[in-house]
Amino acid sequence: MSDVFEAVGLRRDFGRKRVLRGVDLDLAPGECTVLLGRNGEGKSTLLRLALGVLRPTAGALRVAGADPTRAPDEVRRRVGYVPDTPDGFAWMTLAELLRFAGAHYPTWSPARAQDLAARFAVPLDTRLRALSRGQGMKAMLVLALASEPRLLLLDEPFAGLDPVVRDEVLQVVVSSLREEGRTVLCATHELEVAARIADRVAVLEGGRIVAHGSLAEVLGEDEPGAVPQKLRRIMAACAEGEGVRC
Amino acid sequence: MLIAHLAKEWRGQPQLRAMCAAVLLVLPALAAWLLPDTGIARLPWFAIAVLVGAVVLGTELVGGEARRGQLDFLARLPGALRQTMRAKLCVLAGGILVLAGIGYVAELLVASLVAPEPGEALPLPWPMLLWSLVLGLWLLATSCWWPATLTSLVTVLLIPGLLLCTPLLLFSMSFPGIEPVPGLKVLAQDLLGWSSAWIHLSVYGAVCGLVLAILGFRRVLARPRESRAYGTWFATGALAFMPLWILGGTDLWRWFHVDPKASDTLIQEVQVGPGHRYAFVDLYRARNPDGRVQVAYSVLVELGSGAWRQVGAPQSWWMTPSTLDNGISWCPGIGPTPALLRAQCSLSGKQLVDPQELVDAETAEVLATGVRYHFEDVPEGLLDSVALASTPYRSRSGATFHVLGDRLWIVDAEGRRGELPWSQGDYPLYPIGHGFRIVNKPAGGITWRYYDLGRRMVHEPPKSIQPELIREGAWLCGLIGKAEGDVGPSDHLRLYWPETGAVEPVHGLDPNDRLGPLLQDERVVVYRSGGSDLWLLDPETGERTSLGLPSLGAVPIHRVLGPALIRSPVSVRTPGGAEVIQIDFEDGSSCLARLLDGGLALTPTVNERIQLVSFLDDDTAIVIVGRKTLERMRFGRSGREILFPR
Repeated sequence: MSDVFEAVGLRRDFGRKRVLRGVDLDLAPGECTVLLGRNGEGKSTLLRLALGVLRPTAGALRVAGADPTRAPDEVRRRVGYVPDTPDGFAWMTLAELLRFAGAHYPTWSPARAQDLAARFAVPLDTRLRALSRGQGMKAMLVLALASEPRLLLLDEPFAGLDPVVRDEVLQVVVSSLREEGRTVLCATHELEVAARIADRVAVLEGGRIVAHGSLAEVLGEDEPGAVPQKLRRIMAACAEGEGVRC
Repeated sequence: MLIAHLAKEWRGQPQLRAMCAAVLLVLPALAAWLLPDTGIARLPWFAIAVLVGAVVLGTELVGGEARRGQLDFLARLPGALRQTMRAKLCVLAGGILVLAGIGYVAELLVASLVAPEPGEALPLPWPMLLWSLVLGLWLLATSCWWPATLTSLVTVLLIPGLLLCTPLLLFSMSFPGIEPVPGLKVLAQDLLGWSSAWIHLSVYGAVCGLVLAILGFRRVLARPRESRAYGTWFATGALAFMPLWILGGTDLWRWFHVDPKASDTLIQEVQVGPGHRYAFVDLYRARNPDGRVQVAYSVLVELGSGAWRQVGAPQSWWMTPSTLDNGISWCPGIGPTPALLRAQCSLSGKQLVDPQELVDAETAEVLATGVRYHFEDVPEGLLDSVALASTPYRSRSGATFHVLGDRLWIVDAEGRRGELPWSQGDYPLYPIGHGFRIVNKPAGGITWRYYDLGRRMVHEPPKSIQPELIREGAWLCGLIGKAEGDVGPSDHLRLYWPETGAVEPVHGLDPNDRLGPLLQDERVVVYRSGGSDLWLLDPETGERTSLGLPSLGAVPIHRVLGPALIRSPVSVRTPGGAEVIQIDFEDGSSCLARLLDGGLALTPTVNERIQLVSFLDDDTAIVIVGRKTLERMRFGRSGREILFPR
């Protein structure tokens, strides 16, 4: 059991709709866990609960050593978050956005932010509205990583990217993770992504984690680098009719 | 961190900067330069600036970011909630203040271009600034839940109705069997009933707006995805309260718009302009069953057609400064001036409306705006064009006297006007006979003195003398205690000679007699309460003349008095010079009586108290009946005609 991310019986309702029905999940430090599930299963909800922008209906949640409901600011100082769509202020340049965001983090390093921007090849002096979607996602990654977070939450960061850009962004993420050994929780429904970055996989279905473990434990032995057959079967069952890339 | 947020807000509001430069400075200057003679140049640029600023900033600061999906980003930043809240409130207040400054400069610019003569300083409309801040806060608050501009504008109209109108309505009313909460009742009455209501509404509105804005910030920025659900609950609650809100809103509507035919609306005072075309009517409405809180309205009535319109906001009234005809005591400089006072000062043909307008009482046209309350501030030359009103007293040489503000004027028989010496700080309070009581407020306290128009002197009698009627001969006075050398009973009237201080009994006065009004020839009307006889008495000679009362039946007289609006004990003259008194009977009815050739001609007797307003001619009077209607009556004839409200 770690203090990086621990959810016990986590429940979240939206009106009468119960999205999370009792999530139990514990992340190992320094590992990358991919949260798999079809659209609408509650992957983003779980990440938002972890960031403290949603309040759980029931259950307990500790993230980076703090309770995101009671101490959201503490959690947000220690957690990086990359949304599924680049946001921020479109009229700002990335440099301005980094300056603005950096004022909120005690651990923020402007030099590191610039270094990350250079490594990810994102222009600092271009307004966000002028960046491509891929560049925008890289900018969000720069923002998330520049504060040296203990936990990185990725909310479908590769969705909607064309294959070339997606590989490029994915490459950035993979290299960053390997170098820094950061704890990551990545929500996605893309199996290729899971296969490339996951140390562990958690499958969210029906509002609960139905499978959680290392790739080998959950998916069985398969050819390295390929999408495991067991994972294909799980996702095929989950994503029926959802147009998931399998 | 706050500086970062302030910088972000400043850079994020390009429309504000563009508006400042283009609209608020360039446009007024262009209008003043290109169209100096049109109303465009004289638009209220200050009001436009602050209101536009309030709407733009109020709907954009939070609503704009919500619409562009940028609140999610802010919500993820640690500690951003409090700083964002502070920065947005600072930008809202600061932005409106900056725009107010620019609007003020624009108005100065226009004034210098359109009217380059040096005038008095342009007043800064602080209330408009305050209301703009309130509006901005409310918009900021509602845009947290409903970010669309139009929706937040509409909601701003609805939410105050929910939060203010309904409780005010409930707390201002008295319900049988339920003890009202004293503090809340007073607060509600204060808000609805007094002239400072706007200030209170603004302050309470600002506080409510601020609280709502902070709640909205906390909700929206802390958990943006949940705010819509709370907004829905709030809207549902508002709809549930809608019936009460409609009641409250209706009540407020009634507060702003007078209904002359409503049962609780009463006529307070009426003045008829020269030519008898218009009547300037003061109405008031008792808000509560106890009638403690009253709202005054000024109404202009066209006497020919009966058409009327409300002039100005609630808590305004037509007001004369000092004419003794009407015995108005609220001269400039006396008493407190209510914050929303919209007074009209009558200078016979012209009337002053404080502080905005000078209205011609004959044509009801606005002659000047921005007129100050004090008489000295009347525009140059206007005073000379004003015909002075005649007072009840006319000297033996034919001179008439007038009190204008704190100045005393005499107009001789040839119409020459002169100012009489007058002590600084003396103000006429009310007429008593052919003079008036004056008050002076030196540093040590208040002194009461009396001005005798016939003698043209100020006199301060001994404290034991209480003047009741000032006459050219001896004054009629009551005694407080026993005067030195007085041998008569101390509970009766005495003659008092101000030159010598001599006191002697009134001749020909029976202990059961009661004094009525003073006539022009210095005689007084005498009657007996419960009786049906009237006499004219010369108090110095004791000569007593009986007046025959035609067809009064067996109803005994309650009192006889001067018919002026304020019950001065002086008869009033018709245009032809006949003297008119008022008779109230013990059954509650009353009538006017015209004295002519030793006889009396009466108007129809009505079963309510009447008040004389004016004479159309020697035979026709305009009166207020029962404080509900303005009617025309004729002496010696039956029949009444309602002039207002028809």
